[in-house]
Amino acid sequence: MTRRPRRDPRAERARCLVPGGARPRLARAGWDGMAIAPDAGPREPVMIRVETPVFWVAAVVEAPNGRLDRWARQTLGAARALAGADGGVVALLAGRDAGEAVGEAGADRVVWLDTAIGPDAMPGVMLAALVPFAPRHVVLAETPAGGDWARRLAARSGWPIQTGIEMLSARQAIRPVGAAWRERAAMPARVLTLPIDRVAPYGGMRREGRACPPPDVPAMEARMEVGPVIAAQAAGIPLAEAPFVVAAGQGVRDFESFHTLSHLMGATEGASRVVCDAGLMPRAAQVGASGTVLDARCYLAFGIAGAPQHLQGLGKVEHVVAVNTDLHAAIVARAGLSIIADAQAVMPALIALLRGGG
Amino acid sequence: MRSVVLLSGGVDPVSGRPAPPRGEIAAIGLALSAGGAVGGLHVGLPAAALGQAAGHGLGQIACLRGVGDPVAILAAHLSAAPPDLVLAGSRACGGEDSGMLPYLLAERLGWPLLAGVVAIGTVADGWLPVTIGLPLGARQDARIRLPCILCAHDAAPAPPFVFDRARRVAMHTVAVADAETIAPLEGTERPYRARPRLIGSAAPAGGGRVLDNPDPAEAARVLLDHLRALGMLGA
Ligand SMILES: Cc1cc2nc3c(=O)[nH]c(=O)nc-3n(C[C@H](O)[C@H](O)[C@H](O)COP(=O)(O)OP(=O)(O)OC[C@H]3O[C@@H](n4cnc5c(N)ncnc54)[C@H](O)[C@@H]3O)c2cc1C
Repeated sequence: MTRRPRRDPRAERARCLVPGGARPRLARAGWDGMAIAPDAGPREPVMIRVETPVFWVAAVVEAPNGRLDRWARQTLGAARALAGADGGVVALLAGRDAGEAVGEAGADRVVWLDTAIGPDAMPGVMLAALVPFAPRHVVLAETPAGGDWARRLAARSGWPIQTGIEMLSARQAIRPVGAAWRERAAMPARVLTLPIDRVAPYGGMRREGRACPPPDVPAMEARMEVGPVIAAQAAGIPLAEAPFVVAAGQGVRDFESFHTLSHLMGATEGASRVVCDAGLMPRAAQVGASGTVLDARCYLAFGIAGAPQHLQGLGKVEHVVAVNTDLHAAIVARAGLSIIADAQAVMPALIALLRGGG
Repeated sequence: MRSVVLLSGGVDPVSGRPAPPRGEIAAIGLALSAGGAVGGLHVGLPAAALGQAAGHGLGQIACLRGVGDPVAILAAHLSAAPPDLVLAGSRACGGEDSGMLPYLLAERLGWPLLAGVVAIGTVADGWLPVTIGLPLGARQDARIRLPCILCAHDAAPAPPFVFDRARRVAMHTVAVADAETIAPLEGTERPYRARPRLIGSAAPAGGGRVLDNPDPAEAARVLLDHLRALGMLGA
């Protein structure tokens, strides 16, 4: 008999088994059961509630159509990081109600702000909304609107501001100065603005996101009037700026349908190099390394293989959708939705659906 | 109409040589499109970048020589003989580069301010119509009471550079009263270190949903639902 304890592989396996889910999943050493979410199955809604935190950090998030984009989530993530374990995060939600998404993105309280009051009234309303919280920091995204509000807020309140922060922690904020030849590291100031993709979004457990009453809008003399946002006509936007691009590759033969479809979708047209070389589309439409690098949010590719030179042009695109006859085309690996079908059949079906109002 | 363009001097972000920031050249373009007298205004000694800015269409530049907070110096100078329009770029290039100066100036003067301006129209009963440029080619129409401060959008049309104009510009130094001193900046300054942006946040890792050989009508329906969920189609 040896003194070595006997292993029980079955019991070990049972200990590692993550509850829930259709298929068994094992979480080995270093993981506690909570770190890995089960695939499916009933899960208790867990939520972090904070009643009276030691201090507050505010984040101004823009949700013009009720959706929090990645930048807004990162802004809340930064506020959450500054709040740490003791602080609470209050989100000033500028735009439409984003529902539970704000709590999921890390907010403990939500105050709704009406953007229709215009930029001139914004700092006054923000300050009124922040009075009950007396926040240690106010974080904003360096978007055109967010950057503008941050500077108005800092100028009105006299709070110190740091703009365009590239590295942020609770103890240090680093931002470029002197034409980005130098940088300044300092304690985070009261007002902070963040460029995109500098701070990770909140990845922890859902927070309450309790709605608080919106502040009163103080009456003030109208010194400016700002009208509604007019979106650009798709055909007139340069490809590099277009938000939504529909592109044709070698797999498209029916260009009549392609043009009709892009018009109906209100998208800007792009193409692969082969198509431009063949003279089927203008050179200005070429997407890729030797064409245009897109800044679009969505890219819909018909019959494009996804050569590396072409994919380089999709650098910043968030959502790629591909229609291709080849399941193994490189673009399918990059796409969020791929349809393995003939483009000549799918395009008329889309046109029929869009025309039918479906 | 009398317009004043605020000039910061500054350096080119790539070469590090003196050059006016992009937004200030756009501001000169807006001032010229407004018509009337246009002058440049700078706090500090005449700098090389000022002449280059003048090459884009300024006949004369006043350099205010005084010690202390530039916002206070500008406010004192502008309120002594208020122009109709003060234009600035979106931010300086080579200093603190925070873009705060026009906002602090507007607060101190009590004037309204609009940022991101790409075009201005003609004044009608004290209101100036302006067009604001937003990302992805979107535009916003606005109007603002005069006198006001406008920050030009970097992409607003820039007037061409004329070497002779840069050479002939009349730069005069104006001695002004010293203003209150500003608090020294916090923290430490050091050479810039490029930090990578977060990766993987833009594109979902790995492949997404794949529909293999669906019926065209089914494919079209799934595709449109997907695009609607992303908010790419109007309805
Ligand atoms: C130096 C250099 C620079 C380059 N720069 C660029 C650039 O900037 N931009 C660029 O695009 N290319 C560029 N290229 C070319 C690039 O390498 C590819 O050749 C090109 O992108 C391929 O275009 P494609 O996908 O349209 O054609 P193909 O490679 O021929 O692919 C066609 C795709 O369509 C699919 N298909 C076929 N029939 C159908 C159908 N009926 N329905 C649906 N799908 C169908 C096929 O399965 C295939 O995946 C460059 C190349 C070089 C060498």
